[in-house]
Amino acid sequence: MMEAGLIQAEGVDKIYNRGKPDEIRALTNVSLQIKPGEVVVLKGPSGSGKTSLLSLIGCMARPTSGRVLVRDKDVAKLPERFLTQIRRKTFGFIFQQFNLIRKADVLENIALPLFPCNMTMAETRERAEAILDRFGLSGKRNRKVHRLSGGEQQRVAIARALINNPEVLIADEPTAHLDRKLAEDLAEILSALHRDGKTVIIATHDPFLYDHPFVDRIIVMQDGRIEGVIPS
Amino acid sequence: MILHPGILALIVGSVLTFAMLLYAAVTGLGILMRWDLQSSSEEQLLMERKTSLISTLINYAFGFQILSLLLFLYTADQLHPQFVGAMCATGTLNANPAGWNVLFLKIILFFASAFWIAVNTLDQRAEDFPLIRPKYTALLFLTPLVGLDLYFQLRYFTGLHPEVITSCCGALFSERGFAIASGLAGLPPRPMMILFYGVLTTNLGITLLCRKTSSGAVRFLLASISVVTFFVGIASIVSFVSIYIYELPSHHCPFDILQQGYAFIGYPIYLTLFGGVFFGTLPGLFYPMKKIATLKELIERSEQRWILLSALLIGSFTALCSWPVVFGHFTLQGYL
Amino acid sequence: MRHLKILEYALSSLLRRKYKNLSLVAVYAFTVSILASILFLTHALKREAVAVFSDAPDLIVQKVSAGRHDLIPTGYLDSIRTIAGVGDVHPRYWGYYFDAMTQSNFTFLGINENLAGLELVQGRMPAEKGECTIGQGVAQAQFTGVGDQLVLIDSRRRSISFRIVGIFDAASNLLSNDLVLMTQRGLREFFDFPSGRATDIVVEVYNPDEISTVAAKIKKMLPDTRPIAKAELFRTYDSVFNWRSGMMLTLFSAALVAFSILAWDKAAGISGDEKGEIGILKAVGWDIADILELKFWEGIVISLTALLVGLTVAFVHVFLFNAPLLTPVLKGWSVLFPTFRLTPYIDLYQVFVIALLTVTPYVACTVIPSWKAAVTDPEMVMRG
Ligand SMILES: Nc1ncnc2c1ncn2[C@@H]1O[C@H](COP(=O)(O)OP(=O)(O)OP(=O)(O)O)[C@@H](O)[C@H]1O
Ligand SMILES: [Mg+2]
Repeated sequence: MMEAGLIQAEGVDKIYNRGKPDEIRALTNVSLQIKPGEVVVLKGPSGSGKTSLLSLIGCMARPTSGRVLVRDKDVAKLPERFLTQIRRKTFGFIFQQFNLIRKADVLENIALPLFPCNMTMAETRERAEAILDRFGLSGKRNRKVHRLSGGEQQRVAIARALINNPEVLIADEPTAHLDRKLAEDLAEILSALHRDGKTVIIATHDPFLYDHPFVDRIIVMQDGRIEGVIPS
Repeated sequence: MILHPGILALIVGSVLTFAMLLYAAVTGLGILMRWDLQSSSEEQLLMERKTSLISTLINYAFGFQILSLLLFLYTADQLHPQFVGAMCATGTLNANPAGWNVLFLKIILFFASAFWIAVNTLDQRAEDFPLIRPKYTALLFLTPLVGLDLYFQLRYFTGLHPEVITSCCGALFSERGFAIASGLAGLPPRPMMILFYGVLTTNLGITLLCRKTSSGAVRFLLASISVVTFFVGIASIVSFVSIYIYELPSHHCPFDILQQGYAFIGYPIYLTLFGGVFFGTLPGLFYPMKKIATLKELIERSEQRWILLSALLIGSFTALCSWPVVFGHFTLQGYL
Repeated sequence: MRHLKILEYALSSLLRRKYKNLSLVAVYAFTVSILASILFLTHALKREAVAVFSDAPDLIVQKVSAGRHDLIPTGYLDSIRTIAGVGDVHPRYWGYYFDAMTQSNFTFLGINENLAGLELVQGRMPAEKGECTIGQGVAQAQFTGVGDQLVLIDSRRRSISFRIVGIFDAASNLLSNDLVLMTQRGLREFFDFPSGRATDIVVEVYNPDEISTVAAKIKKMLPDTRPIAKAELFRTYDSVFNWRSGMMLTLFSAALVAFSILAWDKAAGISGDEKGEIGILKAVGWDIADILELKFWEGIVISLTALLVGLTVAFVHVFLFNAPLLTPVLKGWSVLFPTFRLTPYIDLYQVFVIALLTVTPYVACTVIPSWKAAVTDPEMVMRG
């Protein structure tokens, strides 16, 4: 059980608003293991707990019970401060919404994760420029985000997720707001990351993504439980 | 009561600081009562988040404390012409016994909040909040001190009666016309100098020893000598450093050196002394906490920095105090 | 390094909400400028007064009878002259006059021929009984100028006119504003002084250290007198001005309270926009401490800007325009408020006091709302 798991969940429960009348059980006894370099898809209908599981894995929140291990470190009881540190070092996020700061320019948006890190302004800028280049956004670096097209915004969001050079990329419904062409671009970027040896975890119910050849494993969720794993 | 803008600022500042601390203490008390690290309830998460609120409140309060210590001294200095015989801030403080209480309390508060912040910083770097209980218990004691500071300030300022011309007679010659003690009596300079250099050399010696060994006894020794250094340092400033700086054989005021006329030399002098003493006491203070597993390594790493800082600051303090003695024009020859 | 970058982000985030922050800075600066105007004005007036008194005699002897200031017999002059260490001793003649027409108080001062130190005169000093030299304030109140007649009513309801031979320069000091200078004889006759009486006696003491000794001797020799040393005058004035500025600050503390409420409201009422932004920051790896630091920098930038603007406005208001907005409040001090330019002067102590008086409430009001923003749940961002 303890071998080479980059991320492990053991008997994880997540209950929102516990003890209150609107108590909701989002996850029940979820266990899984993700190895470095894997591409894993969480698949399931709306409300099945995909986002909840992603936020536990990505150190955004703490489980109600059970253990979550990131590189063999139990993060279930860690103070928020330390969760943030781990998140900063290990994870990059692509959110369901782009979650960009609309009135800020592209460069600032991309550099956001680097502001609280200990590196010089010049180094921060350099890194941001490099990643802008990679996503073909150099010409738009000083453009305000709300003046960009949807596809460009998507690329800014991905660039931001990658600027910390994270080991694990977490994407929640990344194709929800994209047309087929942009979804293909995204899949291309994700498979490139896969080739670079990154771990990618995607929550989606878009068949285009979960049927894509780069996917190693599909975890099927239903009502906060893992129903099955393909291939098992 | 003297209605002076500086006094208003001090009182407004103190009231707000007290309010902030009171809020922090009440929040802290709530945390003390319900804290359970094993729980993953939302209440526990909220309490963990509240620790950051408390830290922020105390940090700001500490900042205000330092500023208000300075403002208090400046205001005392501004007010001295109001009191017959007062030559500087010392005279104003003498005008009402509560004055010195305020000053002492502010200095105690300075060290107390600095220690609290040191403990808090360390605690936040460990993953399991090991010091949460002692820390918030201490807060319950720190808060009344701030209240006491506010109380003494109010007492002091309301008890200040400027010696103005009254309808019956000029104040100088009124029946209760007494001249308040204008200064502090310093201890005799020559023996004080010997004590000063003796204590500071011992202090630096023990500091160096601390860098060599990890013995607890040496750390407690360093903490004790640091406390001694503080008092000897202050006494020396009053006794001989001041007169070398002012180049006046009878001017012992420890506050005038903060002024522009003396190139603000007081700031580095007090800063190095307070800082050096503070860092000197830290290794001894934290030594017992090395028993806590999650803190041991953190303390050992920080300790080296504290010891080094203490040595540097105390060394600079010695140099700053010796400068006018060695290089000044003033000599004590004729006055001894 | 980290800190500088967070500061940079704070600046750009403030600029993104220009209007909200500008309105906050405007109110903040307004509060600062009110308080600073009060401090600058009273301090400048105090300095003027002190400058006036630095020319004042070392020791003044007044007679007190029935607990009140009374005219002093000139016979006391000789007694005082016998005290060792005393130099020149001479009587002074002065008094107050209430002008019913303009509803204002004038100060009358009789000069003797050897009076020096008041050179700032247009025209000349009065030389004979029917002449006078007046301060700018008096001239304005009476709509008169050099060559006109100043008509005054004496205690027997007779109107007596003095020819105005000079006016003190507008740039002159505080005390000359309501001053009417006439010859000693003119003044004594106007006020109907009993012969052998003066208003008070001025004593010169050679050695300043001996002033109190001399004063004590006078008090002993002439028990019905009250000797007043210059130092005491200073003290009294200092205290009066401190009291006045403290009083005014207290009156205007309403402004401070109003501002604090606004600051609280602005800080607490974080827009959905901003809350979203903070959520994003938290989600991409900012810690609570980082957001608190961001808020700290925002506060610093806003406070410093407001302080700078407020202090500048106060400086211009007081020293360039003579505090037109405060004079109605100050009018109670003296009906004839000086119209001269105050000498620009700011000391660090005042700036420090103003900073503490305004920044402390601001910080206290914003710390809890800032924290509330800082603990925004990052998970919230996952669900949009
Ligand atoms: N903060 C919250 N408070 C209360 N209930 C919540 C909260 N977040 C999620 N839930 C509930 O938890 C359950 C799981 O939600 P989750 O967002 O994980 O589902 P999902 O699989 O991501 O759905 P979708 O495909 O629609 O994004 C849902 O019933 C949801 O209403
Ligand atoms: Mg979802």
